[in-house]
Amino acid sequence: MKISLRNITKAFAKTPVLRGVSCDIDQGEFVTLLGPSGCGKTTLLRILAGLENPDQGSVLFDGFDAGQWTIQERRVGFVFQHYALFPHLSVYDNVAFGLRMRSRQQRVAESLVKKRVTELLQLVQLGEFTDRFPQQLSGGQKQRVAVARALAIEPRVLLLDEPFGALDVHVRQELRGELRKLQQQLGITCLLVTHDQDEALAMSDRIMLLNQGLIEQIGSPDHIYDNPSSIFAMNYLGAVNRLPAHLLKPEKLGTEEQIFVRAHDLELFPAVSESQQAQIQTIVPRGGFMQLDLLALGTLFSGPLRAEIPRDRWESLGLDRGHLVSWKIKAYKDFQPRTQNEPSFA
Amino acid sequence: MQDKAVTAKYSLAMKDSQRMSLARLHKWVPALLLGIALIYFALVLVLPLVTVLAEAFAKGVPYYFSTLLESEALKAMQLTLLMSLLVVPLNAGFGVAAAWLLGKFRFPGRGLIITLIDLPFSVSPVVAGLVFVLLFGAQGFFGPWLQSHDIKIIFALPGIWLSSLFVTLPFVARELLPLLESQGTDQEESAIMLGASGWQTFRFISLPQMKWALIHGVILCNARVMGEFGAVSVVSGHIRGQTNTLPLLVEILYNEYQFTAAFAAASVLALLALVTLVIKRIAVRHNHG
Repeated sequence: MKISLRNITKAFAKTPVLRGVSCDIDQGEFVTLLGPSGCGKTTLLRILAGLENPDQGSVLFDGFDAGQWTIQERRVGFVFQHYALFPHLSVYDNVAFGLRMRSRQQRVAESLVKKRVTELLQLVQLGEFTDRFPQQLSGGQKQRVAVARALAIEPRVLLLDEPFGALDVHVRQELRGELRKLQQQLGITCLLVTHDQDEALAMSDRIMLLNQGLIEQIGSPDHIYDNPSSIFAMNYLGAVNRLPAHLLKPEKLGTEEQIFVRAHDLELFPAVSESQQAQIQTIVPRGGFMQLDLLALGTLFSGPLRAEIPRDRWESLGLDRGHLVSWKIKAYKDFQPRTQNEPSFA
Repeated sequence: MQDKAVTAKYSLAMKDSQRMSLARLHKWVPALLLGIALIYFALVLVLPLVTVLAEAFAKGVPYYFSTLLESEALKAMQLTLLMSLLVVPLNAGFGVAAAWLLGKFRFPGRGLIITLIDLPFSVSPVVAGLVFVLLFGAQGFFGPWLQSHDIKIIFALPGIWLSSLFVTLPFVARELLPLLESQGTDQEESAIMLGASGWQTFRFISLPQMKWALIHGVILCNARVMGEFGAVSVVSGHIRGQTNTLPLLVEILYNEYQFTAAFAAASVLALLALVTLVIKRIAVRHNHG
């Protein structure tokens, strides 16, 4: 189903939470709503579900104004961060709930309910857990039940509110992959709220980056990562060094202008005089690359730096904590100052 | 050499004995505290209960039952049970509705309603009874109108019913409210998004989860209805065989120096309380299990 948001605004007790959000989401698309807490992402999700009403603007489901429908008529699947399973019902009854609550005309025979619930529980790999109760399940299993329960009503769209936030890292990564596969397999439109940039980068067709109630930028993960439209977007996705512009442009000396350099756009080489130098302070192995915290000690710039360099490059440097290293900038971005909070579209 | 060995041994023994006394102290402190608690428990709780039973059976078992089977005593028991039947379901229904509304929804005036529900807890029952006398008594606000329509509220069953309702109004609501508040609304929102109606959500999601807390609240409410003295005493008029509940009967018999009969009636109340406690215990165990 195609979803259109038309200039949604919402305020709680006169505090604006959403200040005019518009976008279109295609059938089968996986969109992540990413942003810091308080940016309005959860409120936007709840408006889509019908749990909150927008002050202005509208939500269109396939062109129809969903504001005219009740929550039940919207038929959205919703997954909460803390699962919201019904503790007094078994896994089976949790998943069957939506099918059994249908109006009399739409209700299906218990044999069909059983078929559907069994299918769904197999889909989320919980086939053997039908008789368990929620308190007997691990966090990851609970969240799988929540997903199966949401899918049982054949929702028009699946909405997930920080679904992996309460899980440990390994389970989180496993479930991310499974959810993405499931979503592609079913071809269902999916919106996921998160403040975790890795999650957004890993799962989404498109990321909707929200900041202070406005869409900061919307686009595919690599597009946003490579072409951030604002300082905020660049800062939020990936590690960034803010450096004075006069490092590269001597004519900017004395101005406040800054350039922005990704951690992997810093090049390190053995310390030589007549170059910018820094001291290595911490070394974190990150698989294929090393993450280094440096303290720049140069005349043009002194202060903390974050660098990421390939592991083999690091090993060939043969350096250790406390050593001096020279650095230079391989690539950078600068942003023209723009009026604050003005939305930008990519 | 030998001296040293002895000293060493001695100091070791010292350490051991010190440790022993510490251990003994650790053992004695809980025992002491437990002893104090048990003595207090015996004096304040068990002794009165035993006294009630001992006095009740002072003139033998046959006498005990004969006093209880007297028409006045039977009437009082009937009235007490009738009141609990008429009051508990109403306050249970009110409590569930109020707690659901206050626990699951946020609206202006919510705090005020919670304070108002607590009112019967903070007002003396005697005052509560007096309020009804002032409203419905012969000299009261509605008194003349009630008299002209020949409706009796004060010194009659409706008065006892109203004051019992008032006094026990908070019990169920207060028991449920913290539970419902702590549950949040995620489950109800889930149910509605899965297509359940408001009633279905209440019936299949909210209600089953408040079951044991509800039973707990009902039991407390019932105990209070049966045991209420102050408010009922003011509005009842103490008409023998008509408006005397069990607690009122106990007082009357006592004032008439019929100690054994008074304690027999009291023993029935105590028995009802014990039964209530046992049921409550089972409910609480289920609640936590």
